[in-house]
Formats: sequence, structure tokens, C-alpha cells
Amino acid sequence: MVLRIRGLRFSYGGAFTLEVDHLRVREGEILVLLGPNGSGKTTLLKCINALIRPESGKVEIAGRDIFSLRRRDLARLVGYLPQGHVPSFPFRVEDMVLLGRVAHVDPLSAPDRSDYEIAWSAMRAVGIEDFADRPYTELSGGERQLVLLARALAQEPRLLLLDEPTNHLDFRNQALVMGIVRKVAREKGIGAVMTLHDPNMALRVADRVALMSRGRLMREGRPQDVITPQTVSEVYGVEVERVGDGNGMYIFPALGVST
Amino acid sequence: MRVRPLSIALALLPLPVFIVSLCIGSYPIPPATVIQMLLGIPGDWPRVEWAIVFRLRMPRVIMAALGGIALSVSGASLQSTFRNPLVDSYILGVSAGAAFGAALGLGILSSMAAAQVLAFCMGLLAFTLTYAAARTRGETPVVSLVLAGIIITALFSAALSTVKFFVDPHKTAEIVYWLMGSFSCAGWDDVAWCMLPVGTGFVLLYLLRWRMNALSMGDEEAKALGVDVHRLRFLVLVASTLMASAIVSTVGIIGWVGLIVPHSVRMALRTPDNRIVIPLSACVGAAYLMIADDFARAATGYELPVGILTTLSGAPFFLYLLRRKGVRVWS
Repeated sequence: MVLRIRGLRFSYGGAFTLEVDHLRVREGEILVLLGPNGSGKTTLLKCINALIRPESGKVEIAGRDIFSLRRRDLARLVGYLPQGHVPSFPFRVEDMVLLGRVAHVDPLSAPDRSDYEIAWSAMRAVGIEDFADRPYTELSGGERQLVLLARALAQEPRLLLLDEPTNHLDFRNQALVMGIVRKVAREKGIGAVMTLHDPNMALRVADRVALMSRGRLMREGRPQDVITPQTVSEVYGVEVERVGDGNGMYIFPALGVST
Repeated sequence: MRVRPLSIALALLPLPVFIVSLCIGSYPIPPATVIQMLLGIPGDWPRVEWAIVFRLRMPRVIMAALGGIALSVSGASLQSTFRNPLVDSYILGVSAGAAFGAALGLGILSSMAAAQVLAFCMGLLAFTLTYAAARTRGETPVVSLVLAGIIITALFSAALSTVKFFVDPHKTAEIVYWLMGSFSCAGWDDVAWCMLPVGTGFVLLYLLRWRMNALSMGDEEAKALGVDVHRLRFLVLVASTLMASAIVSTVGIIGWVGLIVPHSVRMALRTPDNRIVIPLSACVGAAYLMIADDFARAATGYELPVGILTTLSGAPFFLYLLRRKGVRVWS
């Protein structure tokens, strides 16, 4: 088991409370957190990476309690893909990916040849070795996501956390990023937890889905069991239509209608 | 990381500048003589030339080099830490604190030595106050540090004005001249005074150069990458403050160096990577202030304050960089 959460409770000064009694992710498994804005998906991801500290509960990654780990040791277990932003300085792609090695390099030294090799194999894994020399700030949104993904892989993590990795990406790039996440999860046995907005994308990529609403897990399990017109309609508060021919199923909001 | 010919050229730049600077002054000495003296080859130069080179010019030139290293490296480090390329060595209130300390020493105790010690201590005190004011719940957010720096700077500036108001006009003039920054009085004792804080700060920042890249990604990302953000930032701030305070306490306030030099290095080498920016800022900064000081003592018949020259050359140069390449260097 890569990730094990028990009795997690976090609140932002009483206005919002996140409560997750039980959640697990296995090696190579992709768990998608699905839910409306403000349902606590990102908060949960930040708890899993100890970026915020819950009031109670346990989070174990690869069997170790994350809140007793040093930042450096935690970063060797967890790779984090933040919601994209543009840094203040135009680092080259290679230098961005190399930063994934921070937790592995001695605090008072710089990366050596083996760190470069690992960074390059991460770049090859996501197919960005051709623009290693380009400034990160000049890349498109999709390319940036791939760079951040390569950087997270260069951490050689056991668990990947991805915060809305398909946000602002076009049709093709969404498929590209999701395809790579699934490939590395399968090939390297890395567990992944990601937040998504699109139920259909969740149906496509998830091994398991946790449907969240107002800080709770409403349902959790196999995608086709969790994502149904009824549950989606209930959680998002919108009428939905089901479009499909028996082989596949898609869910779309009924336009212009709200309940 | 590739080493380019340009990097090597910039790294070697301080050496010829150092030699040429020893030749320049109201009593010019031929470069051949200076090189002979430096290499310890016996020659038949007048005794006075030896004294000019080793007693007067060399400490002053070394002081200028140290100043360039300190201001450029602290500027580059603070820019990374604050994720803002417009930050310089004085953002945390160091210059205002040092100016107040110097004013106390010059205006009230009437002593250059007291001014130096007080300026150094007040520079550190200003930083400590800024840091303490910005600290909330064990964290020191960048925005709080910037705001606290502005507040502490304002307080010390008011205190400086108070001193200037109450001491007699002759002393006020002395304080004002000190504030403009000059290497004209720098001697070997000043070099010795600056060596330890500048050396310590530089070694620390050099060792942390690569980690500073992670810090410039923002706190959350840096943490996720495995950086102890709070501790790393504290180390960078202390090292930068030590360097800047030592220099300001010795030669006064020299502006724009910490802004211009790291910027030029980033632009010339087309990278913000601190593994390159930190060491080369030290080299270029040293050369730049040595050259600026050559102009200060040789351009006119009398000593110009070098702080005026760096600002006069720095501000238009910055404007030129901005117009030529647009804002692409920092997006």
C-alpha cells in the first residue's frame, strides 16, 4: 500500500471542514478525486503532502507517518504537480526538471552527473527532451504541465500528487498528459492521486474514484460504480444527460439548467 | 550545465581590471611597473611608487572589489528569494539602519571608527527587526518581509533625519557626504574589517546557490521539492545582510550595483540559474566597482562619491536593458 489515510480531519477556522475516514492507494493505482469547486480536493492533496497540517488523523506513505518526516525525506516519497503557474525567472526546461533532485542532493552541494541522468530519463519518459534548452516561461500550458510532471518524476517518488493536471489544456494535451500519467503509474508502480473536473476523463483514466462534496467522501470505488448520472447530478447540483451506446458512457450537464 | 567561453571571460575579468586600477590615479604608474611589483621582481622604481601601489591604492581597489562582490551576490540572492528581480541588497532596511548608525557615530560621537561599528550593528539590527516583524506562526512570508522592510526603513530614515536636524551643519555635511558612498578613505584595516563578514556570506551563498533556484519557485513548490523553506530563506537573508552591512558600514551607501550586476549576468548568459549567476555576479560586480572607483578618483581633479557614479551609470543602463529586451528576462 503506497498511501493510507485514517481519520483525517482538517478545518479552515470552522468555515470548512475536511473529513476523510479512510482512503488507500496501491502501487501503480490511479485514484481520481472528483467533486465541485470547494469540495476539498486540493485541501486533501495538501494534507497528503504535509503542506498543511490536519488537526487529527494519520497519513502514511509507503508505511511511514508523513508528519514525522523531514521535508527532504518526504519529497523522496511524494512528487507533487502543483496547479500551473509561471515562475518569476525564465529557467530552462532542463534546470526546472533538475530541481526534482533537490531532496536527493546533499544540502550544500549541486547536482552531479547521476542527477542529470535521472532528470534526462524523466524528460524522456514524458517526451520533452527536445526542448530541454527552451525557457520554461515561453512554453505552452500543455508543455509546462509535462515539464512539471517530469520534475515530479525526477524526485523518484512512490506517490504522485497531481492538482488539476488537465486545467487549461486543450483536447490533445489533456489526453497526452493523462496518457503519460497512466503509463508511468503502470510501468514504475507509482501510485497517483489526482484531482479532476471532468467526470468523463475520470471514467477514462481512474482505477478508482473518490467523489467529494463539502469536505467529505460521498462515494469511493470503481469509476463506473461511483460516476453515475445520479451521483454526479447530486454532487454537482446540476441536471445531467447520459450519452452512450452501451459500450461507453458519457455524462454531460444539461445546458442552462440549474437546480 | 555548460560552461561557455563568455562565462570564462567574465570570470577572469577582475584580474586585468585589478592591475589597471592600480595604475590609475592622480599619480599614474605604468602597468609594467605595477606587474613587476606584484610579481615581486626587483626594479628601480621610486620608493614612493611602491608606497602608492601597496599602501594607498591596493587596499582601496580591493575594498572596491569586495564591495562589488558583496552587493552583487547579496542582490542576486535576495532577488531569487523574493522572486522579484527588482529587489536589491537594501530591501530589508540594511542601508537605512546603517545610515542611522553612521550618523550617530559621526554626528554625536564624532568618530569614524564609531560610525563604522555603529553602522554595521544598526544594519544588522534593522534586518533583525524586519525579520521579527515579518514572522508569523513560525513562517516568514515574502510579502510580510517586503512590507516590514519598508516600515523599518521608514523608521530608521526618520531617526537619521532627527540626528541630522539636531547636530551642527558642519557635521550634517559630513553625514551627507558619508551617505553618498566613497572608497577614498579605505585602508587595509577596512579590508580586514570587511573580509570576515563578506567572506562568510559569500561562502554560504555560494554553497546554497543551487537550492536558491528551488526557493525562487515559491514556498509551496519549494517545500514539495524537499526544501526546508523557512531555514533556507533565513540563511540566505542572514548571509546577504552580513555582506551588505559590512560594506555599507565601511564605504557608505552604493546604490544600483546589486540590481545592475546580477541582471546583466542573467541577460548576457541567458539563464537565471544561480549556479552561474552567483559566482559570475561576484566577478562582474568586483570588476564593475573597481572600474567605477577608477572613474571616481581619476575622471576629474577631485574625488567624486562613487555612489553617485554607480547610480548615474546604473539607472540609464537598466533603462537600456529594459527597452532592448523588453521584460522577457523575468516574464
